[in-house]
Amino acid sequence: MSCGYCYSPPINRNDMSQMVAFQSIDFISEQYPTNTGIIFFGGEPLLKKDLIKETIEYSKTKPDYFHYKVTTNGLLLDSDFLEYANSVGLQVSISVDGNREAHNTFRRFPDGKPTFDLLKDKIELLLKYQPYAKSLMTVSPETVKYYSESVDYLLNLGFRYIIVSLNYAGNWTDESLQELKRQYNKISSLYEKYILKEKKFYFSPFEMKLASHIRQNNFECYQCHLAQKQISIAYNGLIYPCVQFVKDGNSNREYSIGSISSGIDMIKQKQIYLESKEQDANCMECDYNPRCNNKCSCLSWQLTGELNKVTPILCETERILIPIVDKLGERLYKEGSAMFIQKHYNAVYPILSMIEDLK
Amino acid sequence: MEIKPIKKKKEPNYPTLEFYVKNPEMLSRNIPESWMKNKYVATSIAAFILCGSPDSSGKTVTAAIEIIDKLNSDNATNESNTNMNDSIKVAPIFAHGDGSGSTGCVVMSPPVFISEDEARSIIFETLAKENIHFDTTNCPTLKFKAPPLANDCLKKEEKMAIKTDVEIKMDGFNADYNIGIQFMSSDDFHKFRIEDGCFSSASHYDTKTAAELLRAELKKKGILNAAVFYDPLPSIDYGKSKDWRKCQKIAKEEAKELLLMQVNEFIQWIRKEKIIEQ
Repeated sequence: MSCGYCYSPPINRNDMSQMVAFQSIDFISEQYPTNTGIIFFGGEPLLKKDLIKETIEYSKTKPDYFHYKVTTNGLLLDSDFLEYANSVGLQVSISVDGNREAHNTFRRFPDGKPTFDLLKDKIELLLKYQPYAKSLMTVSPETVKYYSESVDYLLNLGFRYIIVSLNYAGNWTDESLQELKRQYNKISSLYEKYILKEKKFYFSPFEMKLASHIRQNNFECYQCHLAQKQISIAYNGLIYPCVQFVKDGNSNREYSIGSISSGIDMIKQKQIYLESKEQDANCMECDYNPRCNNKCSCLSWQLTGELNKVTPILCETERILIPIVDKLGERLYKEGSAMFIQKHYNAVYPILSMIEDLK
Repeated sequence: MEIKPIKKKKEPNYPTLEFYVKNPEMLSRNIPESWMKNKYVATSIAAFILCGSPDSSGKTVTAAIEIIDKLNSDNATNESNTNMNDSIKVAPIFAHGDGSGSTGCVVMSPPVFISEDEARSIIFETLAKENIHFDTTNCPTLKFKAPPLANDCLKKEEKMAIKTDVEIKMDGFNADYNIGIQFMSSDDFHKFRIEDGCFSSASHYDTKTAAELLRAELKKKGILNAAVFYDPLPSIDYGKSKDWRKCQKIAKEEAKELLLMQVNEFIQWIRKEKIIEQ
């Protein structure tokens, strides 16, 4: 595919070799042996299904415990792969931008043909094998008018996890921001309706903002710690602090923090981390600061060229989102919504939810 | 577009995690219907409540027992449960105020107490404004067994291992709607006691736990709709003024305000449950 907003466009494309993949596993096994997640990303990872399988099989020769994830555009999903995925615990997430109009705006083949109609069966297949699969949705100024309908659409398809990213690099205008506000309000009503009916689902923008108030100082652990908690390994074995920095693996070397052969450059790693933690002076004055998405350094870097400089569009969108979510939280609390309270205040909610779903 | 710092006017009006960490029993008061209909989830919740709380006080045990009782009442065909009536509703404890405190000996911040008369005035006058009137004379008496919470010489685990007979005459009753009201005062708290010949120089009060135990009994009996309020027992802060009488007065006003909050929440609940139509 050739999605309009892709952070990793197919220019100077290179695929990871089996040798580099196995060396990456060796590196991870030595450096991060305990309960480490391995995420296959691209491009489109399922173009290399065999390599994914080989890499997972290789990782199982290690004494360590790994868990696996892959994000796909869904077009190459089939029952064979999903059966394999379930057998090894590989969690599959699918990129789908919502209803037909939203999805086909940007998610097209290189020749411009839309992809929505090809996805319906794939989604059904995915949810049959992995009912808790995540849908990854990107919202742009051009598609924001479909936002609430798209969320409703995905919920009706059966998704329980909807992870949304705004395309901050898009051409956001005052009009599209007003539309974003309207759409958030609609989604808020939808969210309230579902929660009051005790329907379980996760809608990332709202969950994170609710958690940012409810968890107060403990919310820190949900936020980005650039180059500390996760790394990205490019096709050539170079290590980057986040997937957004990888690009074609070579052109962004100044942000590489090492390689699988030489190890992590601890000085560089620390330098990047500290730089990412410096705060914009305007943000320091803002009462929303502890709850804001301004901590995402790769986002800042993509949009402003600096790790710690926040883009005004992010500020605008956060100032729209936070009050709407807080009003939602207040309503649900006042209504005594048991599901809201359990979901956000009970540490064992995930376990209880899982027990409920066991047949 | 520009970056504009926000100076927010007020904190969001839904609690932080800290509230539920301090009041874990509140989680058991708000369990989704779908979970209560699932015996595996309900049993798990009860187990988590019993095992997860480091405090083995009555409130966690009560919370767990309530869940199991509800589960049993939903699933059982046992004749002994014939008193359970699905249309009977007992309000949750509306937690405003810790409901605990100590007096005597070296206690530096004793609580302030609301008398029975003061409490009745607050409760029944507030309800009367909503056109809900209660008889405060001909009220049902509840007899049940409960841990001797008021015995200061016993440790918590010792209290939980014993049951004593408790008899409480309710503070108000509305026969039309079959609603009973009880205010758990410090005097009522003293009924949760066995004679053990022990005298302590300090006395501990836990009206909230006593209220929760009473509520559990009311639910179990399933005979009348009910609400149980409790003396919030805020501590007297002698740092607020050089005049100690003023400090006590401030704490008393706070106590009354907290009780009023309990009553107001009850009014919202009673309307929502349609026990009394608007």
